[in-house]
Amino acid sequence: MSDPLVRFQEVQLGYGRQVVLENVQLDIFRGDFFGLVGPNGSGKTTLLRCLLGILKPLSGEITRSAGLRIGYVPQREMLDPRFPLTALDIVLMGRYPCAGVFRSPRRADRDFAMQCLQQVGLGEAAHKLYRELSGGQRQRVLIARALAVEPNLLVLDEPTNGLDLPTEAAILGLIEQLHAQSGLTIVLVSHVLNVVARYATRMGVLLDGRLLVGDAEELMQEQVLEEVYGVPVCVQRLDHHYIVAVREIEEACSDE
Amino acid sequence: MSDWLETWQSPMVQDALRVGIVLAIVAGYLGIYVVLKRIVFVGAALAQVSAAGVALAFLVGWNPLLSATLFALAGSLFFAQSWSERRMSREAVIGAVFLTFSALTVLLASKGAHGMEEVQHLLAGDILAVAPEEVWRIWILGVLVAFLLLRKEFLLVAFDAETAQALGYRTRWWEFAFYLMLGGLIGAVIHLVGLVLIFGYLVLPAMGALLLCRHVASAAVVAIVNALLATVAGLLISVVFDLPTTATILALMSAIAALEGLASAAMSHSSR
Repeated sequence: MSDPLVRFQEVQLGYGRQVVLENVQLDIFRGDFFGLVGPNGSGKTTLLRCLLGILKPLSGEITRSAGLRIGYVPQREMLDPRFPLTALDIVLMGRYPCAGVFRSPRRADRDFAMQCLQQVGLGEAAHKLYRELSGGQRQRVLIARALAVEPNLLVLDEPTNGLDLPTEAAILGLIEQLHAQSGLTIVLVSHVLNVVARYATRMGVLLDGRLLVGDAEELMQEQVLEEVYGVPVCVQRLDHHYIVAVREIEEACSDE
Repeated sequence: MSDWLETWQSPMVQDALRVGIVLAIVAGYLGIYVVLKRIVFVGAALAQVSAAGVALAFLVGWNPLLSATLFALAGSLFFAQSWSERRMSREAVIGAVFLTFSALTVLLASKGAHGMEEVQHLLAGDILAVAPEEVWRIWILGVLVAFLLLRKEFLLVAFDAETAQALGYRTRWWEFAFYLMLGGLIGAVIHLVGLVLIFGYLVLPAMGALLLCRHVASAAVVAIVNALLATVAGLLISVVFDLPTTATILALMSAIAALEGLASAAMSHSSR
């Protein structure tokens, strides 16, 4: 196997004296589709911030391969739609580092941003205001901005939050397509277990301040998930999908 | 007729006009970010911190410009910090700073040579009382701030700080730079134009522009035009009708913002 794009070695993560995750061992390899799941407050955001280089580890070592460029797709809800910015304005932000400080993006940057919008199927909405777009379109704009960085690693934080079922499927389809066709390495962070298990080739599950890494089949076991979420669960497979339900709910449903 | 024309052409009004134009350009543009970043009351609090600096300078015989600027810069550094809102909201801290420095300004001014008259001047200000030697200082500051403000990075950091960090920008430094400019501007003009007018320049022109415009760049241009229009027309009206200048400029800014709000509502109604 080739050298990893990012390697966490015995990493301890947290804020000040508060340790959130301990002994994190993680390799993200070129071409991976890595899914990160865990209950609310388990440390997903902390791990993500560390992966992005925003947060320094308390101890341990994080190695990034030379030439690593991360395209980051933040949670849509974190952005203020009142800003009078068009879809193209936002995608162009991904080109700012290329343009350099104190310089405006060039014509070539603008063309490339336009290409990225077309790649996510939003070429015609380039001049629409971000606030006038639907949730799914906004998500596509943010993915296009991450692509404008020309990344070799795409990191998405809860990309399906607040989307209806068809839009969620379309966004996940787009991410899968970027992975399959462009060979883009993906890190998908989500609290929706089924979504991650459906698409990820490898998964990370956060449990009691630790990160368990394995493939979906290894981790999507009732015993593992019961330990992670602290409730009895039932896991079933339907085609390529995993269906996870809390046991009481499932029993109530089967009684009807 | 010739009386007001003579007054209009007097050095006093012309100096006020020059300062007003720089203030309109710089604060009009800066105001776009102040409103978008939802830090409107940081502007008011910084102006109050700066006013306390002027009151202290008058009391102990320091240079009021220097003192106001130092106070405003210290306030900027404080507000540029990010802190957890788990125990106390940022809004409450801004309110506390505003109230503390309001009290301090009054206490310091009450022991000064001019007493409450000084407080009144700091709050309401009088752009017509600008000394000629201060006009060029304001121009230089204006050019510097305007030059630094034409930066795409401020927009990225204001809109999406986390992605900016992921792209390698040191967002904390960009935040510091923004707040320092805001504090620097407020500190430089507070003892000339007063708290209310600088606060008005930072909020009202940008509000109207953001209601009307669909792009940050066009909103910035409209905000500057709004501020310029209110400044020139306000000065002229106050001279012709012998009205208080600060209140006239502010009333015009409010009227322009209200008209632009109505125009925006009419446009969105007709596009439905």
